[in-house]
Amino acid sequence: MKKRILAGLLAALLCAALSGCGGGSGESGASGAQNSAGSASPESTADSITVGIAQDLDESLDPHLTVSAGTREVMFNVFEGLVKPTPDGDLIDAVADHHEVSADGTVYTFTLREGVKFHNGAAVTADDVIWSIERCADTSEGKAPLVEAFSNIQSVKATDDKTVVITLNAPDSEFLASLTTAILPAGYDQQATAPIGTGPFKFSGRVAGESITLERFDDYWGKKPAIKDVTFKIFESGDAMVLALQSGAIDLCAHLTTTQAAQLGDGFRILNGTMNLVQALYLNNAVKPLDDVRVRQALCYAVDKQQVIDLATDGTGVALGSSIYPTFTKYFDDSLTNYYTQDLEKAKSLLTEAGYPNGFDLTITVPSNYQPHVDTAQVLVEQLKAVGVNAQIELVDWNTWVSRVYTDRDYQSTVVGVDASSMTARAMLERFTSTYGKNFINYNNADYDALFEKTQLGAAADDDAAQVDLYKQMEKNLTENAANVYLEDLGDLVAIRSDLTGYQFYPIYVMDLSGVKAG
Amino acid sequence: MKYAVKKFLMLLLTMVAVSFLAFAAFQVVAGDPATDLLGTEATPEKVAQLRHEMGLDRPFLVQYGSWLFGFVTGDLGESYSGGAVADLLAARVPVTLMLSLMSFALTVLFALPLGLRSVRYGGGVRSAVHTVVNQFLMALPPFFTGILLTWLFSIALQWFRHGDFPGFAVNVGGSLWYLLFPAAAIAIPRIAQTVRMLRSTLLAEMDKDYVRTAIARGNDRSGVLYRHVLKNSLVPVVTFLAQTMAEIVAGSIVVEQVFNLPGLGRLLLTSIGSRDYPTVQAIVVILAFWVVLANTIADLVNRCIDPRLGGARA
Amino acid sequence: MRRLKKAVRDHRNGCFLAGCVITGVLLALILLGAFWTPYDPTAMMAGPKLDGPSLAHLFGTDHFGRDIFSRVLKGAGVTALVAAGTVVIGGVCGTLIGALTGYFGGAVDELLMRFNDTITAFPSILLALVCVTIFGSGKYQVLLVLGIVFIPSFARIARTAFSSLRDANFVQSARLMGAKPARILFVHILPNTLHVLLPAVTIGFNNAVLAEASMSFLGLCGQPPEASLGALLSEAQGMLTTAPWYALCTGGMIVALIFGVGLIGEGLQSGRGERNA
Repeated sequence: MKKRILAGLLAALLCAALSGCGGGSGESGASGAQNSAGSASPESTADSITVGIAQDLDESLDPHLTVSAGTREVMFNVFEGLVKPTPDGDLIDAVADHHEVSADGTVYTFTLREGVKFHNGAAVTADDVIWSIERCADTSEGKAPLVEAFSNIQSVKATDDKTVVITLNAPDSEFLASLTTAILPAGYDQQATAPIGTGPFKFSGRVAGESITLERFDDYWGKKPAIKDVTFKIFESGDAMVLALQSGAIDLCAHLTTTQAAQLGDGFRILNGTMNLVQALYLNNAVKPLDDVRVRQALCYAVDKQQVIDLATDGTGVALGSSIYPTFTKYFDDSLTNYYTQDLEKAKSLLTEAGYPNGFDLTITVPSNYQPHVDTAQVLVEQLKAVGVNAQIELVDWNTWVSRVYTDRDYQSTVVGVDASSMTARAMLERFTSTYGKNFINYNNADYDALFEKTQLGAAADDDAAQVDLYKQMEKNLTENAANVYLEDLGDLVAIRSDLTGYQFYPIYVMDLSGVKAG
Repeated sequence: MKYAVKKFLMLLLTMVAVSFLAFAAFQVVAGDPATDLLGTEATPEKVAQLRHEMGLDRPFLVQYGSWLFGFVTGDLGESYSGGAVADLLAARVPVTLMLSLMSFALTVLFALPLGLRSVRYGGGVRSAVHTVVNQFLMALPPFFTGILLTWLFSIALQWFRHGDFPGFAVNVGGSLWYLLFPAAAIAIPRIAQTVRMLRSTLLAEMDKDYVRTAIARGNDRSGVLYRHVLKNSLVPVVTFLAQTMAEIVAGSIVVEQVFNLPGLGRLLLTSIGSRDYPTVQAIVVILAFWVVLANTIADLVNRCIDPRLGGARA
Repeated sequence: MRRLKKAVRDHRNGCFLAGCVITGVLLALILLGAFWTPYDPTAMMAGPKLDGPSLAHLFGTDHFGRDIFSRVLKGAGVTALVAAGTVVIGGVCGTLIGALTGYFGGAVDELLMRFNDTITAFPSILLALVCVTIFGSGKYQVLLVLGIVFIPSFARIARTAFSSLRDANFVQSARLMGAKPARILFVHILPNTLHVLLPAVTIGFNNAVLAEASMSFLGLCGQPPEASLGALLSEAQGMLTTAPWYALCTGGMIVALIFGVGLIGEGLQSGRGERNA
């Protein structure tokens, strides 16, 4: 019964950066035995690759219970739902062969794909699908369902072996996105330690704190991966990872900083993408002086986003102005990006108006060892000095961050990235409604709540354009009230061995290795 | 024999004291693990129930007793992050053990001959240079040396692949080769320190009357050095070497971080970061045991060298 | 020629002098850094990013374009402050405890020294890490923790020195003249133990520098942007290929600090050596 946290936060990624790298016994074999006279050229063939990750995965690998983004990122290769996301941000059928939605938007009929097998060899049946969905919709014992959107489900039935019908209480145009939820074998209870899914790779082993190994699933229904073995090796710090890249110990590694990427020589290509998250100086809207909208706006005016991007992330980030990241094109409202531009006079006068002519002390709590956030905070401290705000950074480890900031909301401000657990605007925006359990910034705005309610009501939920418009109004509401000091979507630099190709970026936080191949 | 038994009992007593301190310290800090584990779902009833299940409602000494009993029988408790602490440690102990043994071996291997050589030049320019170089080497922090070694041998010369520690289960030779670099980083200042200690001990001994007499009588200087002086100076040297074991363990905690080694030091830092007290507690006790054991062995060795030591240092 | 030879033979005093010069220069720099640095150590874009050493930036610049020389000066200040504080706490408390137990002896002495033996057997870093787990991390916590951790080693040295002089003639005569124990301890014995205590202070200072640098290297000391030498070095490790001067300059500063004080200690011990001989 661990403190459960919402999967969305990017910081999960690298934050457990002191995370142990354990054991002498990696069953990798991926990078080959090392010649003790030591040539450092990458020895792994295209048959097996080693991927550096900066944090151990969750203790439980059960996809329905996954809490950290870093775990979801890796296990994306192992699990699939009825549908799955594509690099373009669409949803395609995966375990399902095709699906139909009734005219009123409440009945979803899925026909299962022929020949989809679990990694244990069993064929996927309608029972497995129903079991998986019901497990995530379970509200017995007063629990919140594992997948929030499933609370809308009225019934899940199999009409025959290959057909599953899901009936909703009310239409929800975003419902399909939540069906990326993994389909698991019914009744299987070893998911935590020996996960079984239907994805292109199957789980083959794990050494806690050291590595996770995956193996190609040869009975995969779709295009089989070119690579046979993947080892995810855990590195305690990004810097150690860079050294490992340089020495050829790993072949691929995501989420590097530009400083790190700059050190890699010819042996690697650097791919540029974005991390798909909203990095901001998140403000606790309930504590003084941040409960005053003028103070929050002053902070927005004090900050020069572009300088943050240039200094902390070497210009790889993309500026944004509200809680939707730019690759989410459907909902992204670029007019909000420059709603506040740096204006020190205005910031000072707002502060004076609010009763803080000489500024105030601000503590920025940052999860340590996630360098981009720490670097960003350092730049912010310098910028805020100019308007008299005396900001102090407080580095905390990830667990402390989760319990103090995210769970207990006992903080003033924090720099983190928030991402979406599914490709819906709801996943980004619902979290700031006043009654939402994980509204960690204590945002409390009646208009905002009302707007959100409208998006879920029949009329809007059915009409895509109307819903998009409502979501955009919500974004605007966040910006106008300066809920947070919005900064950027961080650039995602992926270093990949020069002879490997086929790595694709997704608009959500995953690392798809099924397409990677030599040449 | 009696001496050995006595030493062994002392070792046990020390370990009981150490483990008691560690246990008590973390009992105080850890707050209430039951509340921690339940997190936001904590209700007084649930906490009380979990506390009972975890045995936290028993008297302090009883808890300590059962923890100690578990520890001795190999059950190191449950890590907060899930899994048995013993499992977490099992893979990491060999790495740290090997690293400290290698550092120790390097220290002895280089320090003894260098120390003996250094005695040959009692004064003069070479002696001055020796002192300065020695002081400089002593000033090299293992983590800085580690970074320099990485830069030179991994990036420039590519003799080893930083971050690619193969693990003993996969490749013993490769693992030892990899460990050589962190071991060297730890050993360099230790070698310098030992040489310095050895030199001053030997020089003091050489000044004694029996040595002067022996040399004056025409005995070969180096013969006297090896046959008498070395033997008579050995006791403080062995004691000193045992003490460097503590320094070596300290060095390895930091150096494991530099070389991304999956050892106890890394696990210790992770566990401190995640407030995983059962694991921290176990590591502290194990590292302490390792150091105390080294000291006990040194005492036993010294006793063999100089049987007179029986009562005095017991 | 003869004088040269004598000087060389007396090289330990040469060590002392050289050590004093190095330490003096560093100390002057650190003091200067406390009041003035060439650039604001936290100001970004003081120069181009990751620029090598030049006249404008003696140690080059880091990834924010901050002046590394200014940061090293400030960082060395933090490190030296923590180390000095550690030695003061450890030295004063340790000497007091050692003096009392050494002078009076008895069961308390026996017990304390047993306890001492147990504690000194541990790597100080390990103890400090444990304490930091308990008290939390930060500059002053580390100072306090290291100070406490260093008490036993000072106590042990002081005890040996004091107990060896307990029955010395001049102490006995002082006692016969009716001097109070406090006076005997601190007026009569203490000055005669300085040849042991002072080198111990230099060694303690170096160990403290090393311990502080290790702790901050591991990220357990202070919050950014303030950084002591260890934290700077840890940051520099990530830029080893793009900005090797960063690691060299910060690491070099730690080495210089320890080296200088080490030479002083070496020089101080020469006095003791002669006395023993």
